[in-house]
Amino acid sequence: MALSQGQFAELIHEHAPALYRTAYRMMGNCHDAEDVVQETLRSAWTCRGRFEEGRCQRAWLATILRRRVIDRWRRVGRRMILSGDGWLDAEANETDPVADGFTDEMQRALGGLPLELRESLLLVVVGELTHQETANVLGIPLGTVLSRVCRARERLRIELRALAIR
Amino acid sequence: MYSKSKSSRLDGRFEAPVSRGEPGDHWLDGALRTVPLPEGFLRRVSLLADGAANSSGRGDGLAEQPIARDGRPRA
Repeated sequence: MALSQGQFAELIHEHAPALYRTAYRMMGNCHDAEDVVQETLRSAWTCRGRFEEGRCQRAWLATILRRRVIDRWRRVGRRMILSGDGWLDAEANETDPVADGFTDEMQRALGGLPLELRESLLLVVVGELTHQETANVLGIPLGTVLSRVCRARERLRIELRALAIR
Repeated sequence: MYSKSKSSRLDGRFEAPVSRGEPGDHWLDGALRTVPLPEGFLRRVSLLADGAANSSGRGDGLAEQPIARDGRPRA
């Protein structure tokens, strides 16, 4: 059943902030993050006929968001390195010049994580998806998500410790 | 349990509690979620819903370009 205009407005109100935070953590730049969120919502409206009632809206939007992020990386020619089972972002440590003084060691620490760990962690923690929803979005087993989130937190602690020492 | 310092509450940043040992999962999750929304963000994305309301119902009815901070489609 397609989303009505009223449902779409509610969807934006309910999910746009979490989508933005997830996009920002994935991309590290507030302009790119907002553009990707707008593209995601535009795609959601265009594809509203394919929305399955009863499906988690956040997971549906996160699936679109992830595709838009990958599309953007490819479009702007961001340097990516193909790893064993995914893409590694080679330039995740960029600073955001328009973040109004918002400096965040967490963003730099995230840049040290392999993409497969980073996106699993971000979908669960920032996107607030369940582990099972994250597994469905990424097309991987539930156990893999649980393992990746656990390893991502450990790696994040190591990265934060390293940043604190510098 | 880790919490934001007084200064970090003011500017929205979390400071890693390195001096007090390893940050726990709760602290890490809170720090990851601490991302300020850009000024006017909700107003701009709400314009997408307005665009949907003005659509014919056949097409998407939304601006093709991202909406800039002044609320207009970006060139």
